[in-house]
Amino acid sequence: MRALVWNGVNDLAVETVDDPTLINPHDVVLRVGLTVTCGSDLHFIDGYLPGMRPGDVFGHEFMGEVVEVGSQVSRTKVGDRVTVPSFVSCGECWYCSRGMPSLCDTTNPNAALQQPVLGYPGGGIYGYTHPFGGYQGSHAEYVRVPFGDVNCFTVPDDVTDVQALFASDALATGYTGAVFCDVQPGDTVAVFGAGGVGLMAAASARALGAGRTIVVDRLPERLDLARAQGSEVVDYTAVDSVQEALREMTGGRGPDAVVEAVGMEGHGTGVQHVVDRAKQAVRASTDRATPLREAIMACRKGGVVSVLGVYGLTDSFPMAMVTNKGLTIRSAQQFGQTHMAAMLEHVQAGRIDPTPLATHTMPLEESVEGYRLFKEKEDGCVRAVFRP
Amino acid sequence: MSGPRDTIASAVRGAVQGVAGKVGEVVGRRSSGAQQTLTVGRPVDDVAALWRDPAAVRQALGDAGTVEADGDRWTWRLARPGSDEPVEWRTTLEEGGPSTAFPGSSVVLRWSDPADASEAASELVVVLREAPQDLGTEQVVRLDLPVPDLAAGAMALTLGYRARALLMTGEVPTITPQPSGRSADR
Repeated sequence: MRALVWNGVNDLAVETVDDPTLINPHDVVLRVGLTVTCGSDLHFIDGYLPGMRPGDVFGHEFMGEVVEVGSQVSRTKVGDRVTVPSFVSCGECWYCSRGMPSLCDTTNPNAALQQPVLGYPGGGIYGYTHPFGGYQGSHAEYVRVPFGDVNCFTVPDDVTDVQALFASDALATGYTGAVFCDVQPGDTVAVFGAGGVGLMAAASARALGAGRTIVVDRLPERLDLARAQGSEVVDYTAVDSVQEALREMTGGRGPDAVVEAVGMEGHGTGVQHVVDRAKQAVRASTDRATPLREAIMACRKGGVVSVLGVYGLTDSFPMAMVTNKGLTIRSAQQFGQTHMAAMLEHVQAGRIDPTPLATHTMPLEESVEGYRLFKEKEDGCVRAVFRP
Repeated sequence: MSGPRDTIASAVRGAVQGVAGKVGEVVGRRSSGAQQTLTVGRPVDDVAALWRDPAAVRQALGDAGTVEADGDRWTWRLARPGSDEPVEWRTTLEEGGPSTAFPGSSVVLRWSDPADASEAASELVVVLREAPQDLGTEQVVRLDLPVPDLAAGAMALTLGYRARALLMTGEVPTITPQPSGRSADR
């Protein structure tokens, strides 16, 4: 089959690779319908996140049609149109059975690679470095899905392929982050980052009862998308201080919750950002954490900071602000399996629509160019969607 | 001429590289007894039954090797990188109950080479006891081997993790024979 592979830092190619097969009895094989770029891919494409090997097929946000099922798969059928959360859940372990599927205790074949860093290894993920399992990714014609009955969710007829695609990750991550905000009716939730995850976090917060959402970014086309979905916006390059802008918009109190949806390659202004860039450029630090520090500073006292951006080993973490402001910090990779039914209901009811994230759609053969557009944010690209 | 300890060391290095070869460059001292403790959401009897079953242990070993048993004599054939020839580790399984060496233990399973009577004899020990808060079984996998702690720790974790996965889900997580990367000969 054809697939997009990582051959090295900033070296991608579409190549012919082996077709996936059923390996374990709970496996399913999917014909990939749509698969999409994700900002977290940029971290290993740019060489900031280790653990890729030349030839790895990557991609972790996808939907498609079931073409093969293993002997122990009972609910999922050949022909089902399904969406699949990015993390592999077994559905049986302590974490999966308590609604934390990305923390799965059994699905990471390379758990020993992750334990030295995390203490306790998390679950596997498709196409996202070997410490995260080394599973084949979704930027391919076919993909193997372990535990098909747990991880394949049938898409209702009135949900489009594109909507189902983003339910796999951008919406699932944004929704998870909004749930972490413990939104009370009328709350104000600020979101740093108007990429796919940030936009979906804002939409999810409103669906969960937030009175206002304020999205912070610098790209006009993304701020337009946020505005079109019902958020107020702050262009951080057009204000002297994001903190003051948010204070002014909230009567001096600050947002009740702040979602950080940028990650380790964040942009910003000011001296600290210059220092971050310099340290990252010489590989003295994995992260440029300006948005994380801004989110912590911006949140009202006693509020919640929900961290969705992917970070490495961030230094210069402002713990004093967390303590003295009485903040609650919540974070996780997405809990898509837990929230899928609710997410699809919101999509069906029109309360959340991820469709505008798909600014570019192209064949898989053009995916290298798709990643270039996405990385450079050219032509208003929010997400490049590939049709294998 | 290599002795049994050299053979075991080579086998274990191969197995470790097979399952967790990228853990890191650690050289030098011998393992002081790498230990990995995991909670398994199954009763002690179920976990013990898995470790007593050579077929199940073989499944947990996966690409690291294989094992055959004749009564309490277990012969391990462990993969060695760069060679099609596995190396053998002949052991005897001894089983004990509650032990003062492992307080609170319900079951202690110990594989070691009866021919190696040295103080630094290699061994694999699995200790099982009831986990706190009725969470199932606390499973301790201890490897005492002539390899660095980090490598032995990776092997112990991998064995314990796979055993838990097998008990919880009926299968062992694997990307073999379909890793995310291309075959080397592609």
